[in-house]
Amino acid sequence: MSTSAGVAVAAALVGLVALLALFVAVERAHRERRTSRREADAERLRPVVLGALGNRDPAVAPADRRGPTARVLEELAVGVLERTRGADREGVVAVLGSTGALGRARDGLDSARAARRRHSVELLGVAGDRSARRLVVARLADRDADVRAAAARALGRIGGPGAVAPLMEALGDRRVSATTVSMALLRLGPAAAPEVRSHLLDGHDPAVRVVAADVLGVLGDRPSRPALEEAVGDTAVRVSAVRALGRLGDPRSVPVLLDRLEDQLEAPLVLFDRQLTLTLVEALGLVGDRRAVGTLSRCFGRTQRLSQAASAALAPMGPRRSLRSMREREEQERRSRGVPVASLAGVVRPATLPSPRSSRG
Amino acid sequence: MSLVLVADDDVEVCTLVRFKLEQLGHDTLLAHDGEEAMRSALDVVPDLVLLDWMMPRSTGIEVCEALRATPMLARVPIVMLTARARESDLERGFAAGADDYVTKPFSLRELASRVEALLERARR
Repeated sequence: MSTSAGVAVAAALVGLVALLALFVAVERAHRERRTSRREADAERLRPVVLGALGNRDPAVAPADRRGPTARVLEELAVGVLERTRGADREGVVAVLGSTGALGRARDGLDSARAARRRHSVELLGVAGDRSARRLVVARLADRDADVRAAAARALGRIGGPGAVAPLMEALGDRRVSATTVSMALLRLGPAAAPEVRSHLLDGHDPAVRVVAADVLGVLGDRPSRPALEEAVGDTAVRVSAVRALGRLGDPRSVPVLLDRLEDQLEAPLVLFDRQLTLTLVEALGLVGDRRAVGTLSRCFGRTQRLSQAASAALAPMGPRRSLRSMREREEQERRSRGVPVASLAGVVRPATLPSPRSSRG
Repeated sequence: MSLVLVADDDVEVCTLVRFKLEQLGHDTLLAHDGEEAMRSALDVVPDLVLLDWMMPRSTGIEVCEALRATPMLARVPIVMLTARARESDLERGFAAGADDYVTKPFSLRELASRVEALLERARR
């Protein structure tokens, strides 16, 4: 290559780099201008959105209902709707309606782009648009997993009668995860409990029954107690049912829980279900009924985890009662098998406990 | 007119609550973490504190306990405003010294009523 050709190539390269740098600088300046305009718009429009709270006819200027300012309005409105509940929201939903966002969201449900379908379903959910429920339910069968999950969450937000069945169906078909369905059901709140209960009793799929039991427990739905007690006999659901009964904290469940715990404590090793036993102990602790003291104290000395759980369960029932029960149990064990019983560490004051040496008769 | 300290790491929640309280004629002071909340409370001795539970540095529960342990702030009404909605969470909030408990997502109208009632009671 001649010198002049080399110089030409170098000059071309320098020119290219300079052009690239210019392009980057222009793009950066453009982006900064857009950001600052957006921030200014947000500052100006925030009072409009906040003012819409509790005001069914919000004052949105026609010029703000189009273009980039409409998008800023929508973002602000979504931010408010995500954090609030109650009648105050209607005006903010009207802001979304005024920019055409809700109409675009309905159209966007059929978009070829999964991201747009997801955004659309999320927006309809945040707005709690009940008229869009059928469209949202249809998205539970979307080919994209993120859209299906978003549809489940949206259905939880929209609520109303008939929201439970499609969620449970999606769970049964493994279209939406148990966690997502549980969260959506919890969002529906206590009003959904009777329908959730029917799935606990009649659900064909164990995953559906498990979610139903867990949700009823977290909701604290007391009318579900008999159904949950029945579900304790269902091998696939029993751990969730026991956990739920613990959360309900109804003393009427104590005999059922005690029967199961005694079955487990007497079961041969091959039939012993550690998870179930732990959950039973924790549930009895949550119920806090003193009828459980004797059986709970039999859990000491089995495994460290079970002893800890029994300690934690017995602690709120009172040290005197627990200590007496422990001593009775200890005496019984010593007479029958000579097996030491672990101390009730943490349940009673150390000074009132027999020393570890003396307990090893 | 009262001074309400709003402590929440979510700026949007602070903005919303401030908007509503100022509409009602109250002054507000915002804090975005537990330590800032405690410092602000010591500086100004607010008439009421709204506390989020999950905040950076110190949790709302820790702040609540610290407020109750500080003689000049021990009687200031405290409302927990939190996403933690389980029964045991409520118990823990009240055990830490909260006077009221509001779960997120929240109704601004309901929150305002509770704040007004607590302020009224504190004034008597």
